[in-house]
Amino acid sequence: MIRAVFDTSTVVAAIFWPRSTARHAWTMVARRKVRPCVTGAIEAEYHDTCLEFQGTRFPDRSPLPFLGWIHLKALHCVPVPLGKPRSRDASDDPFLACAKAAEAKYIVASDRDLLSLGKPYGVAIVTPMELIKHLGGKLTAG
Amino acid sequence: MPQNIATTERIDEMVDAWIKEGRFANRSEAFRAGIFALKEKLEAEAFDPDYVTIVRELDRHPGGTGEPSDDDLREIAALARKHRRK
Repeated sequence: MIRAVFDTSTVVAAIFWPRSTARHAWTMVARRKVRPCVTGAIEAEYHDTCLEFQGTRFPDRSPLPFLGWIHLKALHCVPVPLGKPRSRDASDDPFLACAKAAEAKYIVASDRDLLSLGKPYGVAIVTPMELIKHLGGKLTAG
Repeated sequence: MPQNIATTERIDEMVDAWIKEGRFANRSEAFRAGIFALKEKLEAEAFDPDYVTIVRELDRHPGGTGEPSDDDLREIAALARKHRRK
């Protein structure tokens, strides 16, 4: 199974936009083609961001079961030190540190700062659409 | 009926080809192997049932339409950074 780190924007989009490309990218996890990788800090960020976003935009739509499923399916890693900051926004480095620790093939990102990085440490930073294309998936309704 | 599915022309051709290649000694052995391979393939491609249950329940509640807009993504990125652990 291919390992990938998903940025928070992709998680939020998948949970709150049912027809989004981000949701389709997560179906690759549901089909056991991709194993998501997380650190404790990344999971905390998913959780806090999703709950605040739910409160302001979609109060009836609880993200907790989806986040619980990610917790069960993910490879849990201890982040490795990166040395000097790698990202345009240094606060994005936790995703790189997780990808490096997990020896992930992809970081799946909707965040422009992460997407601008290219291929640090041999990890391809791709959009949800690019992940689906790389894995030979098709965009289908639902 | 399973028997009808298993005797369609296409499957018969495939089983005949396997026997000709010497992969199986007889038709029943070839059918058994074929069904096992099909089961493995279906299981490998199937959606995680927990995921299906979770998104079905999630999508009963109103969500966004289509794709998140650039403004939505900016809002999410700003929230994520606010909650990021240093």
